[in-house]
Amino acid sequence: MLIATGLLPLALPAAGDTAAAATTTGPALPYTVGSRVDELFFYPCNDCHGFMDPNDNVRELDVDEGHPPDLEHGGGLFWCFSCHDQNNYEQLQTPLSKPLSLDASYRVCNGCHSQKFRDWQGGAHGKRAANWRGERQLFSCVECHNPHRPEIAPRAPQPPPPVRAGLHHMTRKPGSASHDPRQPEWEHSDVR
Amino acid sequence: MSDDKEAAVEPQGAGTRRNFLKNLGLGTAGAAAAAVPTPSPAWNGLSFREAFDEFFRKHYKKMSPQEIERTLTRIERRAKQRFGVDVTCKNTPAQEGVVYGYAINLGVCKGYRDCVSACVQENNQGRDSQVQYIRVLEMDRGNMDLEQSEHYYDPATVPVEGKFYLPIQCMQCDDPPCVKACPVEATWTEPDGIVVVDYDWCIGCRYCMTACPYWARHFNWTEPQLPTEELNPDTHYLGNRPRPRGVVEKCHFCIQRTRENRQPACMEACPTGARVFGNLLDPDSEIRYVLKHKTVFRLKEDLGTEPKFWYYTD
Repeated sequence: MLIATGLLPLALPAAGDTAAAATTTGPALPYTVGSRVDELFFYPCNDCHGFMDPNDNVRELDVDEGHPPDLEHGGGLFWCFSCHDQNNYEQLQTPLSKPLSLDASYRVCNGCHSQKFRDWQGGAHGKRAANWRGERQLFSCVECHNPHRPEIAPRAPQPPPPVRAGLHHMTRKPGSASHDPRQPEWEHSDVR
Repeated sequence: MSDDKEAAVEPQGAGTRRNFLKNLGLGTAGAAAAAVPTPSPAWNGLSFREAFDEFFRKHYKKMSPQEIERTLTRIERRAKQRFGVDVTCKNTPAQEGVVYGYAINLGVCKGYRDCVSACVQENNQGRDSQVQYIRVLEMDRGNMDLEQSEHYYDPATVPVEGKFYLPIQCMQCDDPPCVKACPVEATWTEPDGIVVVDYDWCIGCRYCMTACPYWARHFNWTEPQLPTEELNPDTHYLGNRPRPRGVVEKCHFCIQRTRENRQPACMEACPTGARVFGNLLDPDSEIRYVLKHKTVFRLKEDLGTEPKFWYYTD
C-alpha cells in the first residue's frame, strides 16, 4: 500500500498506479512520501509555460537560474520530456508516458532504476525521515539526488578524531616502497 | 568501591572516602542537632540520604524501583551542579518483542563523519577527548584488512578516489565477550539486545576493552569538557547520562532515543541514508528487508560473538 501525501489534483491517474506499483514489487512496507511542491521556486510552472508552446528540439537552453542549465542525467540520452509531461508542465511522465504528479517523482525514477526503487521501498536505500518505528515517511529520491545531475558531489568531512595528548598517530606513507602502506619510520633507518 | 573511584566521581577531592567519613560524622551531629534535612555543602550539595545512597549504592539490577528513582534524582541534581543545566535522567525499560539490529550500506557511505559528530553531541562526550563511539575507517578498495585502515583521514573532500569507508562502533554482540570479561558485572545485555554499562558500578579495569574485538569500548581518561549550551539534557541511566571519569563507555544504540521509537543519532545525522536500524524480531522491518534481500556480512564473524551489526552494498 502506498500513500503519497499532497498529490496534486491534476495527477489523477497516479492514485491507481501507486496501488499497482505496490503489488508488483512484492510485500513492500507501507510508507508515505512528503510533498516537495512547495519548495519549488518557479512553481506553478504554467504561470509561464501555459503561454509557451512546447519545443521538443534538443538545444542549448537559455534559462534563468533555478532551471537546470544543463542535463547531465543519462549522458546526453535524455531531453526534458523524457521525464516532464510536455502537455502539462506541472506533471511528470513515466517512460511509458503515464502522467504523474511532481510529488510522485520517485515513480518516474522507478521507470529505469527499478532495483533501486525496490530497495528504497524496502528500506535498504534512501533515508527514513524520522523514527525507526511507527509511521514510515521516506525522503523522495530528489531530496538527495538532483534529478538533472544525480551524482552527489564530494564534500569536506567532519574533523578527524583527536589524538591523546603526547601521542601522534601513525599515518600512511603514500610514497613508501613497501607493500605495507603504513610502514613505520624506524624501518627506514640506515643504521645496521 | 575504592578510594580512586570516589575521587573520580568528584575530582575536586571533596568526595574521597576520608572526607566522606569525616563529613558523615559532622553531618550526623548537625542533623541530630538541628534536624533539618536541607542539603548542606558538606554533602556536595546533596542531601544526607543522597550522599548515603551514593556511597552505599547497589548494582542497577538489584535496586528497587524506589531506589532507582532516588538515584535518578541524585544524578539530575549532580548534573545541575556540574553543568548548571536541568537534565532529565530516564530509566525507560526495553520494549516488548524488540531486539535491535543495525546495518550499514557501504556503497553509499561517503566518509563524511556526520554520524561521529552527531554521536558526540548526543552522548555528551568531551569535545577534545578521544572518546568517540564511532570510528570511520578509510579503506583501500578491494582490501578488507582492518589493520591497514586509516581513521584519521582528513582530505579536502571525501570520498577519495579508490577508497571506501567503513564505520565501526559497538556491534551489540549477542554473545558479547566484553560482558564475560567484566569481573564486577558492570556490563550486561539488556532484553532488547543492547549491551549497556552501569557507569557507577564500573571499576575501570578495562578488561572489557581487551576482550572486545571491535574496538567498541573506550575509557574516559578525563571529565568530558563541553560547552554547557551544547549539553544534551535528555539522558538515560544506561546511556548518555553524565559519566564519572575513569570508566568504560560504549555505543548503546542511543538507548535514550531508540526506546522511545526515535532513530539513533548517527542514523538521523547520516546524510546519505547509509544506516538502517530496526527490530530484528519484526519480519516487516527495514532491517529484516536488508537481511533478506541484500548480501550482508559482519566483521570478524569467525570469532563467533554474533554481532547484531551488518554491512552490505547496493
